[in-house]
Amino acid sequence: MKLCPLRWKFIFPALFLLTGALPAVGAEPAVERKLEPKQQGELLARLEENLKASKTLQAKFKQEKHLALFRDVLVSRGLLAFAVPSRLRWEIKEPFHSLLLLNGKELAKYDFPGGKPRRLKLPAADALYEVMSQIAGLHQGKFGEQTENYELQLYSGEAAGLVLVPKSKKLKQFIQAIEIKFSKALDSVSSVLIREGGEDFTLITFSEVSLNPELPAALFSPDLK
Amino acid sequence: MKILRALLLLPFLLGACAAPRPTVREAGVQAPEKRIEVVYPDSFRAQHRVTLTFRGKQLDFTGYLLVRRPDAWRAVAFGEFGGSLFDIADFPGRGFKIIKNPGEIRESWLTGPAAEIMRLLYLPPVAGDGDGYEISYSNYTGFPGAAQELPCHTVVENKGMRLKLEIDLVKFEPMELPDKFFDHD
Repeated sequence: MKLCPLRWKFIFPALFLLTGALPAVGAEPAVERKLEPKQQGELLARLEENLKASKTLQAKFKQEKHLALFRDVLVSRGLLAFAVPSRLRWEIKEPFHSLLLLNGKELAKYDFPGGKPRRLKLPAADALYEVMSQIAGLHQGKFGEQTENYELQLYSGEAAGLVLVPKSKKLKQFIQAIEIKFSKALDSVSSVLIREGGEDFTLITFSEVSLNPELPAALFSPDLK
Repeated sequence: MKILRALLLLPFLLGACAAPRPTVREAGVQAPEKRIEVVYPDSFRAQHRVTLTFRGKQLDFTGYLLVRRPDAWRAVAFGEFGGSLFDIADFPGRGFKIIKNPGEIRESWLTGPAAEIMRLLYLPPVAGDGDGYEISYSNYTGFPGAAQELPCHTVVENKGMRLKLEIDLVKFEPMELPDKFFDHD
């Protein structure tokens, strides 16, 4: 059994191009000028170099699910930690508690009934594992690995941005584009916005980012104590 | 896997509860019931956090629910990073519809158990609904606009199907819900 449908294996990694972040801007990206192919290549190379410089990362995140029809925004907040090459911790702290861990080859997910951690018996961790591994790869600037499934377009302007548009028509039915904004120094991600069909979108912004902090191994341990 | 994904058809309640902690209601611990009538407002929207257990495997996700009693509802589910899993609705005159299903959940589960559980928990009872299900409620909390306290923790179990849903109410808001919220054309 696959935990995530195939299309989400390609979408989730783009959510986590993180090496640190400035407070994110609003939902509408401030990208301006589309770069020519040669310029894109140069910029991607520079991004990869800069992102690779961070071997660890810790940040707070705010995730907003915007529902146009319902005129509502579902907000969750939490903490992200990453360590090369493939350790990732995604913990939602409010309005509920949920924890997702990747530690090399092992994946673990927890909920917290009654405030106590309970490890979920995932039906098919391989799919989620692949997603998380791709996230880890993107964190190291491996954008080129996404060209198989996305058209990539870089923009310059007030903030450099990367837009990924699915190549698959089927996928496009559900994901119109993923928009990533970078800091001026091109060494961090400001925000990730996923545009779904209609006017719905998910926006993840990062704050209080720490690059290359010392992170205890226990932070990524799949076995909570 | 398709069966398990199909079980991601969970009722979604929105409300403002504290971190869910099973508590004993004043009248005493409530034993599992086939079903009780929780007095919800005529229309509301709610957000839930849901853990589904099916044949020993588990998944959790967030749900968004609109209900206009006695017979209209819409439920949307989201995965870990905000991506939609499914969007389903039932509206008088238009019937039940799967509005979208990016989670590729088996449709028979969406139209079957999912819809049934929705009716069990949030709509007035219909003869025959609920056979095989046991429901328990805990952690009651008052909400503005609700005539009575509402359960912030609900467990729905069907032992024959080896199915269990643990539903925590995250946010609850009584409100008018015009037809357009259930529009699925």
